[in-house]
Amino acid sequence: MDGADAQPAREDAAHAEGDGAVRLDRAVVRRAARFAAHLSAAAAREDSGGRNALGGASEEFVGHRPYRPGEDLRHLDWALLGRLEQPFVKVHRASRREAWVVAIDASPSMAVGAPSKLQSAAEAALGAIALGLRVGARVEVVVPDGAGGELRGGELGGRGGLARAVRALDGIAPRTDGGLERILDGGALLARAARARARRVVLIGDFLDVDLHALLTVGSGRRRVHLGRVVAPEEADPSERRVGGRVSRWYDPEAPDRPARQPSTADLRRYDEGLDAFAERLARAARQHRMSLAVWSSADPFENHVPDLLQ
Amino acid sequence: MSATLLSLELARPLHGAVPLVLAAVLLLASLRSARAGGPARPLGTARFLPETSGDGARGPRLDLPPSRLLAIGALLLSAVALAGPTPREPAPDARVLRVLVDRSPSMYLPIDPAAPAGERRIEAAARAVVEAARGPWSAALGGPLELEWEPLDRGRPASRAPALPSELRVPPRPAVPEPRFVGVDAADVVWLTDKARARPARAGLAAGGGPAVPGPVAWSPRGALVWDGRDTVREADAARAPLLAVADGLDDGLAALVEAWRVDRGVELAARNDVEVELSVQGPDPSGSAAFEVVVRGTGWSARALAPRAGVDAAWAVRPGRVELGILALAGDPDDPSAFAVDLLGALDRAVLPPPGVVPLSERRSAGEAALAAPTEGAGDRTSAGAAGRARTARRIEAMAALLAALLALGAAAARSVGR
Repeated sequence: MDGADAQPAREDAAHAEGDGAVRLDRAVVRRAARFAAHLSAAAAREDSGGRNALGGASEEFVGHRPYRPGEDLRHLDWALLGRLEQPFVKVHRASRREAWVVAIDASPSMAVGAPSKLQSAAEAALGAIALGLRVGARVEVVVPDGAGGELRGGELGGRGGLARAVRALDGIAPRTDGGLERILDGGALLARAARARARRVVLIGDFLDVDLHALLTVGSGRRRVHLGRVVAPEEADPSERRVGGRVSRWYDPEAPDRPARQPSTADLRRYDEGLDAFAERLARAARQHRMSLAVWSSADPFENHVPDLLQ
Repeated sequence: MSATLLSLELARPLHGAVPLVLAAVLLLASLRSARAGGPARPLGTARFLPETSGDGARGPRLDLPPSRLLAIGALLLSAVALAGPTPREPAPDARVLRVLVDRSPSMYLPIDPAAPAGERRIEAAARAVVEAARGPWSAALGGPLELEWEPLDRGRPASRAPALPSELRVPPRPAVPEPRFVGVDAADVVWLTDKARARPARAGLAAGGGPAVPGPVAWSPRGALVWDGRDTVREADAARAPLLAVADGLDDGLAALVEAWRVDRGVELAARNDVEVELSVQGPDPSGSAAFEVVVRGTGWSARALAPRAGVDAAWAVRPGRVELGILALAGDPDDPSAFAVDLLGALDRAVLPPPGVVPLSERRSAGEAALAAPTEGAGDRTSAGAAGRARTARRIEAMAALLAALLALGAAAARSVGR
């Protein structure tokens, strides 16, 4: 059976160029804004005097608040304690706006799922960008343009930053040259992060074609790398998925010449082993190089996993 | 016009043709679709699927959706319901003939003395019964006959078979005497024997007959006694000596007496692998370690002995072909050792069987001519359900098929609605 015969009717055409594009409607944008407001407020409540989980470590003194049991005594204002005989801690905030770089994978494999992994990645990126803007960060979004190897996007900040983020992300479609590996290739992303003096780099995709060594170069110095891995439900369990009562055959959207196959039980066992080994490699690399890693299903709302992503 | 399906007659076969054709078309279409394989869908992680595998290389599985299978089942059942299923006219019940089998030694003698390996009297009589049951007896008794072979020895179970069962073709050991067929002159009964005797009033008779069969009639250490048809002569090699098997662990005193008897009678010790022996001396059940002192008595003697359980009062029991000891050992000399020895040796003499091939003279005499007579017919209802009962059953089958078809159709619709 040749490739053409094997795929007479590929019913899910979302992998094709121009199809399966990201749609960020008003409801999603409202959710992102609401999410950012809630999370930044929660982060402010967790402000422990001097270091904010999202605001970074640049410290500008803004006032005092009562000491809470269990807090780090290094932030206690001992002079005030001597004068008032009551414990207070110093409260700081970022004195200089931190820079973030957010990049998403738009390779053909991201078209899989309903909603697609690309849609899920874009919504998660929008949530992360909204949060970054909310806490005063300068955010740069990077998406593969595909035309001549250029990257699309740019720095977002100030008023209208979220609207510009939506414009940057909306309409992104999966394409053969849209993978994260192209963003990482040749140090393009590293150069951007260095230029922007980014303290956080957020990468969202399925990481199937990413060279882990290239990934590790991004997180040098004080820069923290956050990895978000999106998995479609059928990728987690491709056994016996039916469409119209018929069992699906699977093909690799990034290898269209390879024939579609209906896997046997033995095939599925080897598939699980391969997928688990890949996930373990990625998780081990993240642990060893202090990168955060969040994994989610493309069917889950971004509010569930973006907090984990930005830990 | 009618047709048959399994054990059903179809009263209106053409009425079921339409759903049957629809089921066939649906099945063919489903198979064609299944051969083409399911829809091809992208899987970002498809690279982790192996390139080839055992069943992958054979092409896609023929995987029919459950909704299609249920729909096909519904169409088939509706075809059955519309075709008017009716139970077939039942065949008349077979009448059972009890064949009472004589297994005395004469039954296992050959019909032709010149051909010792040829057909034997029991086989000739059984063959006559089988042939008669298939032909004239079946016609005379108004229907098919089923044969139930019942040996008349020691309550062996009867078995139904179209021919003489193999276990009855082997002569019993020990030999059983010729039965007298007392109290079994009844309808639907056949006496299977060799000697033509007075015709029973109601039972049938199948006598194999056969001329006299000369041969060994007794055995002694000096040779077998052979009947030549008129006189009895002694021949040294006409039959082998009887074989004796003695249980391990026998009390020394008892073992010595048994050995003395064996030597005197010319009996040989059996080898370990001898399956058939003419006498077996068995000890008591060795289970349990306790020994009880008991007093055992015989003809003109008594003795103290050790037994595996209390209350034992007999030192042995005699059975054809074996002597079963009830004591582990003598606890002292018997009060009359001579009487004890005579009693034990007599028990061994009574128990030992004749060696193979040795048949009493009375059994070797001529059985006369073969005879065959049909039994009388006993009372019995051969019919099963009547016409009214068949009609009722037909309606039930039709309703059941229609109900099942409706349920399957609902199942198909439900499966379809959930994408199965």
